[in-house]
Amino acid sequence: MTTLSVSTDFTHKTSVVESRSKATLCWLMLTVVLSLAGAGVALWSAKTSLQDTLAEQLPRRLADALQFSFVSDADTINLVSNAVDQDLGSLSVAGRSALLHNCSAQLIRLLSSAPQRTTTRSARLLPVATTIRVDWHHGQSPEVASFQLQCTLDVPRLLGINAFLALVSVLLMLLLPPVMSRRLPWLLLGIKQHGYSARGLRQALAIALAPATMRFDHQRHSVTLHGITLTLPKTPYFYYVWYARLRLGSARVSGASPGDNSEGWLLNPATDRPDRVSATFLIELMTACGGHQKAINDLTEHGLRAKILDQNRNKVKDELCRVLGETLAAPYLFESERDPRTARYRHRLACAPNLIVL
Amino acid sequence: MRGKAGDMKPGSLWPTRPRLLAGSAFLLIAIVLSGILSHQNARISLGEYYQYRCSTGLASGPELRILSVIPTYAAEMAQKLCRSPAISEEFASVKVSWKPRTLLSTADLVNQRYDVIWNRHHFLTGLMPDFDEHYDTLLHYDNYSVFWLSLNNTPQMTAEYFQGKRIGLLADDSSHTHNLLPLTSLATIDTLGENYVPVYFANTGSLYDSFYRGELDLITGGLNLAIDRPVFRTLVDNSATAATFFVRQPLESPAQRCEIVAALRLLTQLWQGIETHQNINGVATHGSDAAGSCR
Repeated sequence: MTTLSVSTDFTHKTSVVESRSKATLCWLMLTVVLSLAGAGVALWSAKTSLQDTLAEQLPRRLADALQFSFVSDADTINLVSNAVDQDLGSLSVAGRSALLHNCSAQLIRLLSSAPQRTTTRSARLLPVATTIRVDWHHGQSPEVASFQLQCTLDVPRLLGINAFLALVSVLLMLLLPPVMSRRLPWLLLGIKQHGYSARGLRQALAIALAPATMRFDHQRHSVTLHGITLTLPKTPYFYYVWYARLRLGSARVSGASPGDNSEGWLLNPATDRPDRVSATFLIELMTACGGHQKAINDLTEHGLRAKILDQNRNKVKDELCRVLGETLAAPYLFESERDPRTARYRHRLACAPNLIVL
Repeated sequence: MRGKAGDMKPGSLWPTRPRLLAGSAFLLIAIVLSGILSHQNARISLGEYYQYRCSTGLASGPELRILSVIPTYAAEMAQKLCRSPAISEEFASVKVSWKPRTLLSTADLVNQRYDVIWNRHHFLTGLMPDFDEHYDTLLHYDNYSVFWLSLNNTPQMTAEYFQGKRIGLLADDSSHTHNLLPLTSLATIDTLGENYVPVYFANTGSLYDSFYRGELDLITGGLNLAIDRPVFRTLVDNSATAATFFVRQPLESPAQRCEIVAALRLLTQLWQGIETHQNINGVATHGSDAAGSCR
């Protein structure tokens, strides 16, 4: 989860409730759709499998049984019909889940010319019935035998199975895409940087799967963001580190109460009054880590001025946007707000402290 | 990440809405899973329908198996035998089968799978040369008349008459009436060398239907025709054997043989119909000692 999506979820409680009821609605609708489809598939598959079996076995048997009925008599048709009906009693319908119960098949008529036989329609709860036709040949003349298949639909089981499937798929729909949408742009960026070769794709995948951390390297004045390493000019780099330190709470800033600073905010110095205390910290950092003497001198001489601060933030921003693009750079850049007391702007790193490694 | 989750740079190869893509994928998976889980398979076992079976009431015992040629009166014969005390004291059930004659095999005869068989003697000895050593003749219907039948004119027994005629035959070498007799008749008169057109049928029903529809010029047959139009006839054979029934020699109880004969006599109605109509001598006669000594 990105920090941002978490904070949005918590700040907009109404949208959480809304999306929950949306998901519930989605789940219910999907359950109904899947159940209807499941019931259809159950009956259709039972029907076609019975039809296939009958179509495979019955024509030869009927042709044999009625081959010499030269008085195409109703008695013989009736005799054979009864025997077929008796065999239909052996019907059993089974599947991975027993959605159909008490299935029974009955012969409606053996030949189109034969009278329709009385089929019993049992008083079942939610019966489903369908007609099956089997083509066969009586000598040279084509005939159609018709059957009725009746079953009881196990509605609780049908709903149970499909409610579960719907729940899982709705949950996956809700949970996986944010992960995907977080990783996918990084993967694309990785591919853009490293190309479509096997090695390039491997590196792109490594970038996509890298933690969302920002890791600073003072030696190379580079920062690794989500697996992508950017080397910054020295001076903007140290300003960037300075903001990161503030965000981590490992640096204190003058002119601001401890409460203000706890979130990593750095108030822009007033134009006429440079921030001397912050300058001291920056000078310390740059001196210790090999910063430009010119920048150090400037800070020593003038203190931390709003103009310089803006300049360096902008340099960081430009470099990140150039390499990562605006969207992917955003979480690693600065967010700003107006300080209610001084009416001046203050800035801090948007990145959560737990993702910053110094 | 700002903006809507999943928004991508323009010109990207990827769909702009991963959520939509993933959503459809999950939906599809759910539908497929639901389909797989809902799939049902119907199982059924079908027997053969060229037989009728009834039980005699005896708890356990062998089955009396009668092989007929046609389904007519099969149920009646079986029921009559099932009610018979002489039969029910030994047999638990009676089965009358009208399995197609062509399906009768040597194995059926050697293993004596039928107690009574209705078929042609020459056909049975063809399957098993020593047939007579295992089966006795139980009942014999002969003096059965077979005619050339035409809806157009009286058949002439000349080669010229038969030339180019469409003749309906049964595709069953064991059929006397619709295969052996007409072919024999044609062989005796057709000096032009088979100049007729034989049309073969799988069953008698379709043979007669085709004849009634006028699709055939000639067929052979008896006299019981289900048609209102006048039919022209010329006698082929007035002493044809209509039917012969054979019985397994081990089934030797005279009482049981008599009961079987009584049941088979139900079939007499088939040939009596011919007599009554045409007043031709085709009465069923008893052809065996066993049958003769009944009552």
